[in-house]
Amino acid sequence: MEEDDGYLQLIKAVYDMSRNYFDMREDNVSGNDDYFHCKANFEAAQRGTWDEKTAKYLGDTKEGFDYLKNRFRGISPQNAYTDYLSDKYVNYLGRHQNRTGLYSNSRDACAFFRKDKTDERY
Amino acid sequence: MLVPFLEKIKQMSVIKFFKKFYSFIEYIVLFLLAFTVIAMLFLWFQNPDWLEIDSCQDSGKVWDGDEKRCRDDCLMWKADFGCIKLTEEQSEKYRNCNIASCFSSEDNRDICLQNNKAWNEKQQVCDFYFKQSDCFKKSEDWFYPPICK
Repeated sequence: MEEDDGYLQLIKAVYDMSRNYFDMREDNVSGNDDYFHCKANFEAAQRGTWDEKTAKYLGDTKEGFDYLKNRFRGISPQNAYTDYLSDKYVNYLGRHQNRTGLYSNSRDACAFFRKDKTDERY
Repeated sequence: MLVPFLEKIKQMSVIKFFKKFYSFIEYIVLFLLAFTVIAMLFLWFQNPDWLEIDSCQDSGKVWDGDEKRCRDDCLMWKADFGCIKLTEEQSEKYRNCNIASCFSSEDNRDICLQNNKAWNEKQQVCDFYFKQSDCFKKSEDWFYPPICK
């Protein structure tokens, strides 16, 4: 169901992705990156088609940028690509969990990625 | 006088070309591209280390804000209490763990006390914000670290 018009969905999706990015920076718990990837994509895809497309675009762009960054740092193509695919998959899972309609919130939807030392605010 | 003028502007071929070219989809794409560039510039000005921090956290490690370096021997790092350090064995166990709770209750207790934090035996939680000045000020359910002795 489309909650808002396309422009509003886009702006809210950008806000959700950005907020989760800075939350991950602040939380700073080892191994929690997958949880915030999943959470960001779940939350950013909730309102309709444009929400999901925006979440996918921003996620894929970020992962593409990370691939280039890793290659520039001397990481092998295989390891950089594995990392790229892994993060893209987690992003996809977040959007997929939203599409199933089984979860009312991102914390439950992405619980299998959430480390127990994660701040309660997230 | 204004209406005929506006009508004339509408008939101009440049306007028609502009409206044809910048359809809804293309506005979306332009916005997202602009956002991407602006976001990167914003992150750069906010913290010049943002690329390092981004790489560090995206690989599942922890950014030490004091030492300005990436660490894989910390469970977490916060400005309030710094690094919650893990031993080699604990780090290895955590790295190979794919579930939410990687440590047993005993491990959590060890991590807590070895980092000079107080451990609540009843609730099985660690007070990571514990400081030496808090020694012996908590209830009897709390175990104090070696620095309190």
